[in-house]
Amino acid sequence: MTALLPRLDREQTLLQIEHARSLTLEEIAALMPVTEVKTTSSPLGGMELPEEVFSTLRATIVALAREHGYPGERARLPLFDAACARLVHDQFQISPNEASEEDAWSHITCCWLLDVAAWRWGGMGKGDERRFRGDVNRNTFRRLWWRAEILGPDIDLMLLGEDELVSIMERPIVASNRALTRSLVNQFLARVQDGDDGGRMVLMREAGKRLVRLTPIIDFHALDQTELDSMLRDILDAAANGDPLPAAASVVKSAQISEGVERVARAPVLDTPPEAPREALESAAAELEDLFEVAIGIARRTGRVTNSALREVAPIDPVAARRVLQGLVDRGSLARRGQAKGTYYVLPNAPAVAGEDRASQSIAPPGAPAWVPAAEKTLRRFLSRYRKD
Amino acid sequence: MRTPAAPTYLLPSDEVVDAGRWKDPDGVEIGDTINHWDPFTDLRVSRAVTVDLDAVRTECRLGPDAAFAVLASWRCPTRTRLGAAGERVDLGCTDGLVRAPVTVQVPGPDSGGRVDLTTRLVLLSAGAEPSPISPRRTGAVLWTHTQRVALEGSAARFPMTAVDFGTIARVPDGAAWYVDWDHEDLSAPVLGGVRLLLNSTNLRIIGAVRTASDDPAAALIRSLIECDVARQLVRAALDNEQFVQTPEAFPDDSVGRMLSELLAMVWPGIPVAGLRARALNEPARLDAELQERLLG
Repeated sequence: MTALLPRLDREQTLLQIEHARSLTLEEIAALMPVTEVKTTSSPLGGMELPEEVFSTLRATIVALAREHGYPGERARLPLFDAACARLVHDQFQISPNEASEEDAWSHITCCWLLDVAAWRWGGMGKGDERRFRGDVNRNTFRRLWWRAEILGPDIDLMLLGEDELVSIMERPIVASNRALTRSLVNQFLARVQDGDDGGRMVLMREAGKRLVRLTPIIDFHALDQTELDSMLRDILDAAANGDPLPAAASVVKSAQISEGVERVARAPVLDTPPEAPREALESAAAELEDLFEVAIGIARRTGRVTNSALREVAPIDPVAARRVLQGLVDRGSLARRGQAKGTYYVLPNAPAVAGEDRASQSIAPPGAPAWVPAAEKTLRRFLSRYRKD
Repeated sequence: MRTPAAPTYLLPSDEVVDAGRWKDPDGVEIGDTINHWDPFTDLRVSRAVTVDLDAVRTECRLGPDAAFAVLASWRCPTRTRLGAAGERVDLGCTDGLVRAPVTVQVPGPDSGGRVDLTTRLVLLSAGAEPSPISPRRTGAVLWTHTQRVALEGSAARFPMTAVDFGTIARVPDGAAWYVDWDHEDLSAPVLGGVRLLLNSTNLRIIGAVRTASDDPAAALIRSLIECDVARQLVRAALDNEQFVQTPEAFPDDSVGRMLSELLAMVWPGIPVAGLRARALNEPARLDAELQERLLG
């Protein structure tokens, strides 16, 4: 069972913040805790945390803040943040789902720790209200809880600077992957602890940029720990030297096959009897002509035909559809446009199709029956043969 | 506007991969919404992926020693912003057409809001002689498909918690459920003011309230709980002087407003004062009418 946090809605939160803006730190501290509010909690989950948990947390965090200058001059704030992150994370046994609720962090901040939050940011005054309501990136305590959660118990948060943490945590595509984030931090710390600490803030920023650029084209989930560490070392090297990521070397690895992977027969020519019956081949040829007509018909009606559009009308697989379309290109009946995922086929000399609206048009003529192959395997053999010829 | 990714290597066409529909462990296809999801239930889904590795090699100009894998990952971009992946399925250096099952488990506590289920074909090894424009890096994405699934749905829910009654002094250890609320404070918000506690040591009750329960009596148990909870709420509401005098005076989303709407739904057109009289004079009839409305 996970714990639930009371939630303070946005309206009450903003009232608390506005009220506190005109008060001194001592006056705000005297208001804590604020209990005369209406709170809610998640409809599903564990039990709401009792007040004692919040009282204990407040006492612990105020004591920690005093070590760093509270209520006076602030000192060694990164160390305060690092220690506070562990306190908040360990004190609340809440799930990431619960910790994603803005109103929960608004309640903690505005009803229990508003004086500490105000001190942490040099007073409330006209300061950023997101520090005090439960904003995802700016709330004083929410951002600390998430640092501890994402980086895990084995990374010493005190070794990282504020800017370095922001470089990681405010890149959601990086911070969403705990393994990637932890590997990045470990490789970064190993590097700076080895004495290469000149411009470490810039190093992390540059590494973060390079990493983000790779995320659409590299699936980091596919890498094992060794591969992940190696790639992050390369990224940090490139960031340190101001170079692009070096080209990957050609690698031959032992190619294991996972359990459950099976080869699927697709009736290749070599796996079939040397000659199919003449009638079957003639029938397949007729069906192939039908398919050609269907494909050309789609191109005429909608301006283009794609693999998936053809398969909407004819129950054939993507490979067969591709061969049909390629067959028409070979004949000169269609011209291929675009590439890879954007591949489509048009009638020869047709202008390029602009926009995607045509793709949503009905591709089958009104009342046209779906095309059903009578001898699909034979047809596939014929398609293979046709391509070979 | 987001700039589309522009890989600097050859990609195969979309048709080289044919992915089946995502299915739950019972083989039921999942749609774009999972209703009645809760953060204590892991979502486990799988699909079959068929890859034409000959075409992949040809179109990416890779040799027969190039190795590939497929894997599925999840990410919740709107709530927890967390993500992870299922086990990587290595296709090795196989050629021809291969089919592989991919599975991913989305932990309930880490998710919420919306989950993006992404399936990818990736390069594991480029082999000895890839062309200069072939994909080379381990993990290079060759094909991808993402399905968005809304978790939680939009249905309103009654606040509910499973808890060991042995840890709560005010509740008998062996009770099956308990409506935890202060019936004097009807202006409290529903989410926070009232909660149905279910005894987590009573496995049959816990199992029955799960949407995917296979207990044939689950529907009956749920109806009984629903009816009992409604009866307790109605009786307490009609005992509350303030509520009987001004049933419409409670703010939106408050317990009082919920009770007012409950009475109007079960006994449309009957004034609350009249219902109170019925509760005093004919309590059994009142209960039976409630049953008729909720179980009928």
